[in-house]
Amino acid sequence: MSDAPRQTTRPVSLEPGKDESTGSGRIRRLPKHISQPNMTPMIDIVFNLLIFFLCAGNFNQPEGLLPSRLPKQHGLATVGDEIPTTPIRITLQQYGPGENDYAIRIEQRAQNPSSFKELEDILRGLRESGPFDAQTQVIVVAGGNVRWDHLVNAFNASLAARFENITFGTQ
Amino acid sequence: MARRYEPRSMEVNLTPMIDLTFNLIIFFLLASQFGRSETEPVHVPRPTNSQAREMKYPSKLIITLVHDGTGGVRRYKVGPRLAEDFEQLRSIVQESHRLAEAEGKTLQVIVRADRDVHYRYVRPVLETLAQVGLENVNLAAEVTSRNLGGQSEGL
Repeated sequence: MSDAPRQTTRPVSLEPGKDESTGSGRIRRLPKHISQPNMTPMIDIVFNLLIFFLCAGNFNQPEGLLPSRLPKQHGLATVGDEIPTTPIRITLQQYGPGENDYAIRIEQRAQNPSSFKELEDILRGLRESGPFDAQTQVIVVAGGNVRWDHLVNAFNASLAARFENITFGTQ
Repeated sequence: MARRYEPRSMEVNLTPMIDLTFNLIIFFLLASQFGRSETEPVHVPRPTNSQAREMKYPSKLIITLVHDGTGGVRRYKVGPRLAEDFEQLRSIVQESHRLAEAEGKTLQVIVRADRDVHYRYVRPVLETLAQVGLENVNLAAEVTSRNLGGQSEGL
């Protein structure tokens, strides 16, 4: 004799516990073992993946380097120093506490740039058409209250204009 | 009569192994983050049309100037060490310079100053480096996406 459970063909009410065929309201037991996937390992893996990508992701802006050369044994250049060749002096001034409260001036030039992009264009023009070449010294001069961001911007503009001899000076 | 053991199908549960593998990966990722703690997080300058490149040097000294929120410097970090004053900064730089020279390498100094720091706090660092005789100084700045994966020197 087979041990398999007997199958019924009687219609079963959608409402749990009620047998439609008899209408008697007799409680009918549902099978105890309902097959359902085990969610725990999946949740484990999902959380692990989440943590992995959070750790692996880099939210910082990538950082690079602007190579420069300092004058040997003399410290920084000063504006009063005698320099044999005519340098280009870029002066930066901070006239307020705000991020954009700065002024750029190129000495002995009537044209003063209003942004670092404009500074780059002017410097490129000087190198390409003027008496200056890539070896001409560019000195970025700034007061003590000028933000480092502006100095690096001026340095970067000189590099972008293909000048190779750039240094910082003090007022 | 001897009892017969029927061969049962054996299944390897892979879930704990995968869990463990992921945990190991996360551990090593975090450990490497701590290893990089020499580079303290600062907001480096963000130049227009940045010319900054990613570079790798065999012998380098990173000087980090951490912003105090008012334009000043909270601390000067030279490599993994803190410099209390410029004399200490000078001695650390000199020591690193000597060690690099003894190994026949050129010490590359990387100045990582916060973009909001005032120049009066960066200038003494540059002066100290020049006085020690270090010519090669690199200024840390943000890289534009087109400059990523740029040149790699000295390796």
